[in-house]
Amino acid sequence: MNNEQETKEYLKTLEQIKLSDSSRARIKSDLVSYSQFHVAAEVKAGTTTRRKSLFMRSMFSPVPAAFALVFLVGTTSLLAKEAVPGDFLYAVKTGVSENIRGVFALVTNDTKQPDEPSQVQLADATKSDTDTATTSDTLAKNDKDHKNEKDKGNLAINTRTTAMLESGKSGKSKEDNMFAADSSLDLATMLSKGTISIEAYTLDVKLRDKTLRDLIKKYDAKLESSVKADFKNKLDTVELLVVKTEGASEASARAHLDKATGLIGEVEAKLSTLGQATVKDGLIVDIDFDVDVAVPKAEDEDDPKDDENVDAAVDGAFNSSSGLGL
Amino acid sequence: MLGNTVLPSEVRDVRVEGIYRFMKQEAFEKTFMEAFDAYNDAIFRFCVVKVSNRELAEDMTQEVFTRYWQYVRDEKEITNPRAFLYTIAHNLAKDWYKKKKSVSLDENLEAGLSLPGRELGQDTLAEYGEVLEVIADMEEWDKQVLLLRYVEGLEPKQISEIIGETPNNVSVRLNRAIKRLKEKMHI
Repeated sequence: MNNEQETKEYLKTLEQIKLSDSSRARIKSDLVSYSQFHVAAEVKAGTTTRRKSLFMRSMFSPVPAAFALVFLVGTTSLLAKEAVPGDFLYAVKTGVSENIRGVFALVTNDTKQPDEPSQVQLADATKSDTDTATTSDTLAKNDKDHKNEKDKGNLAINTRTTAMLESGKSGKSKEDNMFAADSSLDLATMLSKGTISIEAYTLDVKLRDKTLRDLIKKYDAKLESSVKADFKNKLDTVELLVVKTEGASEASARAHLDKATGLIGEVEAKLSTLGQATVKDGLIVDIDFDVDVAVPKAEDEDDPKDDENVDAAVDGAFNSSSGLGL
Repeated sequence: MLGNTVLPSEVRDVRVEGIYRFMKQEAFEKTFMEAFDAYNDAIFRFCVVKVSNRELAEDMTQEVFTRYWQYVRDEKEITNPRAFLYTIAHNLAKDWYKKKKSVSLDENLEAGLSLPGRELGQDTLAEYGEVLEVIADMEEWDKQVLLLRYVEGLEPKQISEIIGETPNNVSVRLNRAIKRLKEKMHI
C-alpha cells in the first residue's frame, strides 16, 4: 500500500464528521428565512426599461442618428414647402427653408450681384400662399381633416361604450365593463407585439398566488376559519390549474390561467373588504384589519351618479390612453 | 381590477418587473438550497478540522452559506460553487485564527469535537477519536490539504484555487503533510 492510499484509508474516518439532522434542519431553516428576507436585488433597469434603453441606445448611436436627422429635416422641409399661412409648418417655410434657399442662391451665384429676382420670387410665393390659404378649397380641406379626427375619436368612444353596454347585459359591473374594454385593447396590443407570453402569464398567476398565501399566513389569527378555508380552497384550485397548464396547448393553458386569475381576483376582492389593503406593484401586499372598509353598494341599486362617474372615467381613460391607435 | 386577466398598461410594467423579481428569487433560492444540500457536510467537516470545535464549526458553516447567498443574490459570477464555498470557509477560518485564543485539545474534545453527530460503534468511535487527536495536533495547512485531498477528494489544482497557492506548492505541501502524518501515526 503506498503512502497516498494509506493516508486515505487512515483519514477515511473523518468522513464520519457530519452535521446532526437537527443542526442541519436548523441551519437550513435559518438560511431559508435569511434568503427570503434578503431577497434578490431589484431588476436592474427592468425588462421593459431595458428594452427601451436598448432602443434608445441604438437610436442615438451616430449612424442611425444621422439618418434620422436627415430624414426629419428632409420630411419637414418637404411638408413645409406646401404650407400656407396659418399652418403649423408655415413658420418653418418662411423662417428656415426660404432662408436656406436664399443662402444656396447666393452661394451658387457668388460672382453675381445679390439676386434681386429671387427676393421677388419669394415675395410672390408668400402672396400666393396667402391667397391659397383663403380659398374655400383649403378651408374645406381643413374642416374635413378636423372632422375625420373627431369621427375617429367618437368611433373609439362608441366602441368602448358599446363594449360596456354589452357586457352590462351579462350582469357585470360598469367598472368591470370599462376594464374589459381596456383589456381587449391591451390584449390585442400585447398579442400583436408578443409582449405577454403564456410563461409570463403563468408566472404572474404564481406570483399573485404566492403573495396571497403569504398574506393569509401572516394574518392567520385574524381571519375566520370559514374565510381561511374558502381562501385555501380557491388558492389550491389555482395551483391545480397552474399545474394543468403544463404540457397543455396555449389556448387551453390560457383558459386555465383565466380561471385561476378569476379565483385569485375573488380572494383579493374578499381580502379588500376585510381591511385597508396596501397595493404594491399591482398586488395586495398588506391588509390593515383595524381600518373599517365600507362594503360597496350592490349594482342593482342604480345610482344616477354612477353613469356620470363611469362616463368621466371613460373619458379620462380615453384621453390618457395611448394604445387606441388614434 | 386585480382579478382581471390582462393588466392595464400602466400597471403592466411594474407587474412584469415583479414577475422577473419573483422568477429570479425563486431561481436563486433553488440554486442556493441545492448547494446547501450538496455541500453542507463537506463544509462542516472542513470547518471542524479548521477550528476543532463542533459548535463553532456549525456556526461557521451557517456563516459560509449566508455569505454564499449574498453572492448568489447579487448575481456575482460563481463558476464552481463547491470551490467557492471552501474559499469562503477558508477565509472565515483565517479570520477566526487571527482572533482565537489558544484552546487545548482537551477543551475541544469537551466542547463536542469527538461527537460525530450520530451514533457510532465503540471501535469506530475509538478510531475516530484517535484520528482527530492526530489531526488536531497538526499544522493548519497540513490539516487543510489532507482533508481536501483525501476526504473530499479534490485535485491539487482545485485545492490551489481554494487556498490561493500554486498546484505545485499544494503537491509539495501534501507530500510533507503525509510524511508528518505518518510520523504521528507511528507507521
